[in-house]
Parts: sequence; C-alpha cells; structure tokens
Amino acid sequence: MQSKTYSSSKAFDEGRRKKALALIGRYALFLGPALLVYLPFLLYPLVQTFVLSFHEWNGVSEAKLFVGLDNFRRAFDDDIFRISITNNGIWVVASIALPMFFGLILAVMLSKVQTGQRVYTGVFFAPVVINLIVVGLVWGLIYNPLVGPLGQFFRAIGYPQLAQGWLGNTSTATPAIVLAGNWTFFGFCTVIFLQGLRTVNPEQIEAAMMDGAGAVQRFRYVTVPALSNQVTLLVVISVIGSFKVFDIVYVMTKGGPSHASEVIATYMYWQSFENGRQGYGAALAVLLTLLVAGASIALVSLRERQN
Amino acid sequence: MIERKQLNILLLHVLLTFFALATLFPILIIGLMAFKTNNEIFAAPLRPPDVWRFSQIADAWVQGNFKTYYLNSIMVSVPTVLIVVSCSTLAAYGLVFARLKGSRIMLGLFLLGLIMPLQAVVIPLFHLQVALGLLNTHFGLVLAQAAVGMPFGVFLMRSFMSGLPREIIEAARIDGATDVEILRRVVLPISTAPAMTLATLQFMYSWNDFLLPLMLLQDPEMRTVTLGLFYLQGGTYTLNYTMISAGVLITSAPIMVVFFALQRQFIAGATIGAVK
Amino acid sequence: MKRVTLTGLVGSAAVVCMSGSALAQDKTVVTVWDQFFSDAPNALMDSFVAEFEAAHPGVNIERNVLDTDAIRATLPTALASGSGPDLFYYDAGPAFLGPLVDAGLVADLSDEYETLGWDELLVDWAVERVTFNDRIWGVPNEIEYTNVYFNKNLLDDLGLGNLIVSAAGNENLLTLNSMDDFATILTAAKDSGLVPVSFGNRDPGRGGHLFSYFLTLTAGKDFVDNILFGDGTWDAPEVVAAWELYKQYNDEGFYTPSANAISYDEGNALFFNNRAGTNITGTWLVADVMDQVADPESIDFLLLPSVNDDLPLSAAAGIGSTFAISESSDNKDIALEFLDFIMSKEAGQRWLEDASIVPPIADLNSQDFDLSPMMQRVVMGASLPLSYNLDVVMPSEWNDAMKSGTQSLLDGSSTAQDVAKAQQTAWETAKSEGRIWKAK
Repeated sequence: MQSKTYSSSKAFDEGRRKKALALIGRYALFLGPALLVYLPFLLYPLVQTFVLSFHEWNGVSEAKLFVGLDNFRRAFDDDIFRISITNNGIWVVASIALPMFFGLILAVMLSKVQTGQRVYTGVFFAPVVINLIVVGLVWGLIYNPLVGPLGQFFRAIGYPQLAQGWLGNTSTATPAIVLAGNWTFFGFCTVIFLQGLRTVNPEQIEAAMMDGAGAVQRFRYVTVPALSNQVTLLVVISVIGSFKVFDIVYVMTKGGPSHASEVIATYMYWQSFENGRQGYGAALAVLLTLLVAGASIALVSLRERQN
Repeated sequence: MIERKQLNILLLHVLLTFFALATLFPILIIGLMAFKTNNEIFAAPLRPPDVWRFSQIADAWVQGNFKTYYLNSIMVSVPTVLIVVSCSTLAAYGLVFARLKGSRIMLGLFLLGLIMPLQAVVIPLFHLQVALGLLNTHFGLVLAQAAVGMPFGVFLMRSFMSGLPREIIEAARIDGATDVEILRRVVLPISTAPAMTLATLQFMYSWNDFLLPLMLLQDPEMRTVTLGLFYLQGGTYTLNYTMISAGVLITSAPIMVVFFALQRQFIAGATIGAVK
Repeated sequence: MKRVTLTGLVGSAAVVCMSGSALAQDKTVVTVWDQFFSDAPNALMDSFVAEFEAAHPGVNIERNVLDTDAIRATLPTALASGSGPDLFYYDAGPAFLGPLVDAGLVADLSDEYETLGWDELLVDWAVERVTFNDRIWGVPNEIEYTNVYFNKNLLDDLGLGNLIVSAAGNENLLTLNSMDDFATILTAAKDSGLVPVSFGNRDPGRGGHLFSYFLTLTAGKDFVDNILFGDGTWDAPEVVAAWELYKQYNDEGFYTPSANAISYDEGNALFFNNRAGTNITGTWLVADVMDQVADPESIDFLLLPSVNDDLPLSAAAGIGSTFAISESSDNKDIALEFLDFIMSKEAGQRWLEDASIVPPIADLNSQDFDLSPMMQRVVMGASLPLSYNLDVVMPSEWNDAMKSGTQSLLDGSSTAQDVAKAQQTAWETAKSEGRIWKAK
C-alpha cells in the first residue's frame, strides 16, 4: 500500500512535469509566433518610450540625460502642446457630431430603399477605404486658393473674400482639416447605423403607429433608443481616432501655419524628429497613450454599465 | 397611397443620389485635373480639359516611379497579411481553446497594443530597426506592420472563435485529437470567412500605411505607393498639379476597384472588429 | 503540419524581402549619401563617381540619393549606430551638423585643409559655416544668396524699367536706387492687377528667407554677427524693423493673397507664368527659371539696396550643404581623395556649367566659362560682402520661432514685437543648452 502510494506520487510528479512541459509547448506553438513579432516590435518599443520620457536626448549623443519628470512638467507649460490638445478636442467633438448626424440620416434613408442600397452604401463607404494621403492631397487641392474648386465656387457666387486659403489661416486650418477627416468617417457611421436599424423590431414600430405616433415620434422613441449600442460604439471609435489622428494633418499642413493645426501626434513627431528633442517627444507620446487609454477605459466601462 | 409611397421612394433616391455625388465630388474633380495641363488647371480649375490627355497618367506612372512603388507595396503587404493572419489565428486558438494558464493576461497584453497610439512607439522602433540592420529593408517594415496589426488580428479571430460551440472541440478532444489536429481539422475549415475578412482589412491597412514607411524607408527605391505619392508633392521646384492628381488616380483606382468588387468583405471587415 | 507551413511562410517572406541586399564585393566600397536629386546635379555627381572609379580600379563608390527630409530623418541615427555612410552631404549649422560633431561622429578635417591646400582654395566665409569650436568639419558646397527676380517685359509695360540700375562699383549687378523705388514698382504692379511679389509660404522656411534678406537690408551682417558671437539680442529694434517691413508688404497687399496656403512651387509658377511682377527668393532658382519660363530672356534678377546708406550692397547668403566624413569610416583616405577631386578648379567649372551650382572655390575664371548671363551675374554677386541666410546657421527652436512668425504675421495673429521676442527667448534657451553655432 505504502509503496503503491509512493509510486503513484512519483507518477503524479512525472505527470505534472509532462503537463507543465505540454503547457509550455502549447504556449510556444500557439502564442509564440504572434508574440515573436508583437513583443519586440511593439511592446518593447513602448517600454522604451516610457523610459525615454524621463530623459533628455537629441537622438545622436551617446549619453541620455536623466531629467526625472521635467519633460512632463514642460508639457504643461507648453503653449503649443495646449493648442494640440485643444485641437484634438475639436476633432473629438466634430467627429462625434457631424459624421454621426449625417450617418444616421443616410442610414434611415437607405433602410427605406431596396434597389441600389448596395451601390449607395458602397459610395458612402468609399472614402473610408481611400488612404489618408490621398484624402489629404485631394482636399488640399479643394482648398487651394489658386486652383481649388471651393475658391472658384465662392468667386462665382460673388463672395471672392471667401475664396481664401483655408489651410493657411491660423483660425481656419483646423476646421478645414477636420471637415476633410469627417468625410472619411460618415460612411462608416452610415453602415453601422444601417446594421443597427435592421435589428429594430418592426412590430414595435407598428405598435407605435397604432398608438398614433407620428414619424418623428416613432424615430425619437423607437428607432433612436434601439440604436444606443451603435451610438456608444461610434463615440468610442471617434474619440480614439480623434486622439490618434496624424496622417491627414501631417499631409495637409504639417501642423501649421504657426502650429495652429497641430495635434498631439504631429507635435510629438515634430519635437522628436525636427526639433531634436526625443525625450520630450517620448513624454508627449506617453501622455497621448494615457489619454487614449483613459478615454477608452472610461467609454468601454460606460458601455458595459449601459448593457 | 401606393402612388404616394412610390413618390417617397423616388424622392429618397433623388436625395441619396445627391449625397452620393457630393461624396464623390472631391475625387471626381481631382480625377479631372489629371487629364489637364498645369496651365489649364491654373487658368480654369473646374473646366473640363480641351483635350483628354490620357498619356499624362502614363507619364505620371513612369515619372512617379509607380511601377517600383507598386512592386514594393506588394512585397510589403503580402507578407504582412500572411504573417498577421497565420500568427493571430494560432494565437486566438491558443487563447480560446488551448487551456493556457494566464490567457487573460495575454489578452490584456494584446489589448494594450490596440489602444496605444502608433506614434508612441515610432522613435524606439526606429532605433531598434537601425540596431538590427532592418532600417530601409522591406522585411523590417513587414515586421513592424505585422506587430501593429497583430493585436487587432488576435482580437478579431478570438471573438470569432469564442462564438464557436465548445462541444465540437471537446468531442474532438475526447476522440483523442491533439490541439494541432483540432485546429487543423475542426477550427481552420470554418475560420476561412473571418480570416478572409482579416486579410482584406490588414491588406488595406498595410497598403495605406503612411507613418511606418515614412519612418523606416528612406531610400527612394524602397518606397511604397502611399509614400511615393506623398513625395510627389514637393522637393523638385516644379509645379505638379497634374502629377499629383494623376498620382492620386493611380494610387486610388486599383483600391477602389478591389473595394467595389469585395465590398461586402471590406465593410464587414471594417465594422465587425468594431462591433465585437 | 500547420507549424511547418507557418515557418515556411514567414521564412519565405524574409527571403523575398532581403534578396538583393548584401552581395560579396572584392572592391573597397565607399558609401556616399547625398541630396543631389535634381536631374542636372545628379547626372554630374554620377559622372564624377564614374571618373573617379575609372581612375581608382579598386574603389567602388555607392551613392544613395536622398531628399532633404529623408536624410535629416536617417543620417543622425545611422551614424550613431555605426551603420552610416563614409561620406555624406548634409546641412551645416547647429541644428544639423552641430549635434553630429558634438557626438563625435564627424571627422575633423582641419589638418587636411592644410595638407590638401583647401584653406587656400575655398572661400573663407563658406568654410567658416562648417567650422565649430575652431575646427573644420566639412567641405561646403553650393553658395547661394537671396535675390529678386523680375519680369523685364512686365516692368517695361509699367514704364518702370528705368528704375533698375547697375550697382556702383559692379556694373554687372543690377539694383535699385532705394527701397522706395521697389515699393513704387510693387504698387504699380498691384494697380495693374499683377501679384506684386509671388510668395508661397506654406513651407514657412520661405518666409524665413525674406526675413533674413530684410534683416540684411535693415541691419547688415555686423549686427547679426554681434548677436551670434557677441551680446546682441534678437528683440533689438533692428530686428523688429525687419519684421515690420515684412509685415508692411503684407498689409499693402504686395504678397500673393493667402500666401500661407500657397506652396513655394505655386508661388514660383505665378511668376513663371507672367502673373507676378517679382519673386523674392534666391539664386538656387536660376536653373529653374531658365528651364521653365517660356521666354527666359524676359527674366533677370536684381539685389535690393540697403535701407541704410552706410550698409554695402549685400544679400543673405548660405551654403546649400556640406560634405563631411564619418569619424568611424574605414575609408577616410579615399573619401578625402574623392572630395579633393570634386572640389578642384576643373570640377568647379563643371559644377557651374553642368549643374548651375556655385562651388565655394576661390578665383574661378568664370567669365571664360559657358554660362548664361544670369548665371554669370550669380557668380559676380557671390563675391559681395554677403550676410547670413539665417535658417542654416541657427538652432531649430529659433528657426521655429522665425517660421511661425512668418506665418502668424500674415494673418495678423501676432506682431513684429511678439515674433522678435519669441526669437530672443528661443535664442536664450538654445544658448543656455549649448545648442548654438560657435565657429570660434
């Protein structure tokens, strides 16, 4: 009996070892390949950025000077950083308001037509697919004061003073870029809302009609509440996208004129690569990550509470 | 009543067509520019060209070095898609079915990559690639893009697999199948749809990517289409509306064709990940 | 099975991507990163390389032609990591070559200047631009200075062609009797519906050239020297005056409308297409003027007179970039020999004739060369007592203050005093951090 216990416990140990080995093997087999790419080329750089944010470094000198929290303190005194954050805020608000409004209207209209729905959807969605460099170049030409159609239009209707360089003015550059950015997003909202509308229960609508509710009331009290999930989702996407925005600003104005259209990402890029302050750039990157992470967590938990 | 309904539908079509044209207007107007001379554009931006100069597209193709850029883009996006789709399928299976301890932590690790802005890593990534001798190579760009695409890939495939009935897997396991066999015989055959969606989306991302090529490829001969287009707009002291607009056509036409051909896949891809 | 396929996929991806790199070489390979991407200079560099290789059978020179943005983004890190080129052509100045020198990445060429005779051969002020802490770190190239192109026909139509006069003591150079004459021309151009000054400031470095030029006219080189190397400040009244002049031209409607939204190329195109009377830019544009204007004979350039009579005829000048050798290069000797080859007097003639580039080589008998009249004038002007084109000698934050100023002054969101003050603040910061150019 005793010897039996002993041998079984030995077998048990053996089994545990085998199990542990098998677990490691499964880890290596299934997660290994993904981690092999993901860890060195994304997570490791993120850790390094974090470390770099406490240093001052021009990118070439051998020594990186440890400066503690100086870079973060500097950010709070930095006027251009303040402009950047404000502009990110404008992106957030505008991307929630305009594309979602048009997306909802278009989705409601689309849901009522059968023929051509696919073609319309495709057209509205096309700007989502186009790369942002193209978007930037196209809209740059639209706004161009010399040859742009917008200027032509204003001249034609007798307001030549409005045929100005919208991207060259410190007060209009950001709205002009935001508008171009929204053009690439409303089709996405349309599709999401259209999918949501398909789940609206027709019986509810009929019941509302029986109760004598008009079209507007039906929309307000039946359709809109049914779309709350889609609304939350689009808000999350808009907020994250608006904080991360880079390409379109970089192509259209590089953050100018006089840094007026700078967002955090372009300003960080400028500090790191054109102004030779890579430590400060890293600190801005860390702040941006914290902002996005904070906003995402807040919104996702809000969404879960809703459900 | 029926007539009124038909009238409403007609009105809807009119409105939708108007919106559709307005959506396409910027592209159409730039498309027009590609066939005009710089002087024509300068003199009358909106007027159609006197002569449609199709040769300008060919000229831009040659002068803009787009043949090289197209090949480069393919050399980058195809391997990236293969790596992301295969690695994230494996990882998703591992996270969902392979009874891995700490899989929630692993998931959190990938989640970090999903919310983190890319700009937060470009500096160290740049130095890392220099140190590894990967700077200015397509392979380096492939690894970077694959790393950026991986979190989303893992999430997409994971959310699909989480929806699969566990009983099938357990049944196969009771029959003595190993994980590799289950993945190959049971899971993979039914995963082609989400894998295709992921591939489409990853391809689009890789093709359109700007920041990573901008950082990691400095040799003009290595540039991707997107980067090549960006560099068309300056640096030569010559005015090139024609070149830019022809470049816009050259770079967007193929992706538009692919998009309208695979519309369902694209739209599903872009929205499914978001919804889940 | 799956695993094998995966490894295969990743592996083949790697092979596809890396094929075509490292090939075995018996010859000594010297790598050169340069910025000669325009057609003519690019072809000239190629022929220099071919000739040098023919004369040195064991040497293979590999050029990597980058544009300015690309080389600024790559070169520092490449050098710091030891994977950089042997020889490179890079912007001089404290924002670019400066940090590389400080980090010990650039070879000190001071002794070679004596042994190779470059101290006699090359123009002093150009060499000074690549001098840091009393040591010489590069071989400068491309002498450039600001000027004003004008359209002779349009000026004659306005009846103002007679305002253009020969410069005192240098009848080959054109100028005006006073800045008032310039204002007269611009006003007349404006009244006739022309753009008086074609100006594209979307890339604000262009406005920076105007500022450098105006400061040369209002204050002169000694004033700038006193700030750079003495105790002068950027918020001095002279600087404010230069900004006021810049702003005044805007307020009078002399610049292209919405200049901040117009690219440099577009601004030039306005001038090339006879829609603008003048173009304030620099001598680097001469080759393009000859190329792109339907009737190049109708275009010429003048140098603006100084505001103050005590100041000589001048312009804001700089060097395009400088050649420099990596401190860690194994092929310094060959790189030096190559530099000596492309900076000889014979090579100088070819820089001028084939590439329209003014090399900093002293005493070239350029009047015997096959040059356009405008190019001849450019060479003449190069021997004037020129001042600084500031962007290339100043630290990056100061440049940012200047560039931001050129844009915000145009839409009225700042004043001349604001901009001058911001420049001084940036200057003090850079000075305290040792990020400035110290030639001596």
